[in-house]
Amino acid sequence: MRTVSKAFFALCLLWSIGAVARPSHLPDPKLTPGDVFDVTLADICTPGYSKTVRAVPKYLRDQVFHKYGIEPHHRGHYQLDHLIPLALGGSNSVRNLWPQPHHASPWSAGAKDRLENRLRRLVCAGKLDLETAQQEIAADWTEAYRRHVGGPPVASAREPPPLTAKEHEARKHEVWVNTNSGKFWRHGSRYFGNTKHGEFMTEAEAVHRGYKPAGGAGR
Amino acid sequence: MRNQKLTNVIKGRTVRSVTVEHERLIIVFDDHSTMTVKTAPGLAAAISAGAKVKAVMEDAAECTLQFENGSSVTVKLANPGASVAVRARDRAVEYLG
Repeated sequence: MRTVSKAFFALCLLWSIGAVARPSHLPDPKLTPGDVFDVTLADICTPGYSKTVRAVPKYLRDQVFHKYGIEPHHRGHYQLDHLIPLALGGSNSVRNLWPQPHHASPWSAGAKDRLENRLRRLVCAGKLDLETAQQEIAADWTEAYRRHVGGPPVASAREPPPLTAKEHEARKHEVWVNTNSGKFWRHGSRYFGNTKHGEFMTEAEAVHRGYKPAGGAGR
Repeated sequence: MRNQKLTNVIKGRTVRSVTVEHERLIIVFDDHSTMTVKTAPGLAAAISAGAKVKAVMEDAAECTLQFENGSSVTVKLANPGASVAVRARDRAVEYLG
């Protein structure tokens, strides 16, 4: 058994007996152990895959908040997160959904999004096994963040550090790819760098990887 | 409640064959796409070949397929949110949920 798994199970044991309070940026492993679809690497690496499978009916949403004991008038403080992201084959089952607090700096929803993008890139490039990525993010996504992104995040991860003038200039010549929808936007679009899941790359690379310009022109 | 996303995917498709194995309902449509539903134990689905899908309803772990001939069939999902898969003829994912 790997070290990360041992540490995770030890933590679960401590949480279950109430010896250690579960941090708000981690789901309850008994309620949300993680769950996946029967998908292949080819499935998840197809541009637009996540959009095809994003569907959480209201009754499942309600069920998740109810299980976590969150009253309807407090739901605005949370977003429903797929512990194992759809982009890595995670399912829409309640076993894979948890209320992620909006404000849990530094381990915010934005930090988890960055990890998800990084893992998907590694998996689709053949540098990380899909099952391993799923297990790591389900066990403790903050540990996976430290391992694959580096960290912990220093500030609110929803607010990336401001770009230098040089970086800003370089970005103008790149496109922003929404890795969920498979569409990309050029500099000047309001979606440029502003979708939940995405990454910068050159247009040539985006086209090579099968991404299409949003609305036909990427504007 | 109508599952609009799934309805949009399979509406108008005609059932070619239906099999039930290991608590999985497998429907093959005339365009060779396949819908697989993981069901709770005790499934006895009565779907006739030739029926054309009109809509899909889903509520509280029950999924109901409505057909244009007026018939319908309801199955209990094994794991709501992770029990239904529709794949095209080339095995591309059309719907998972």
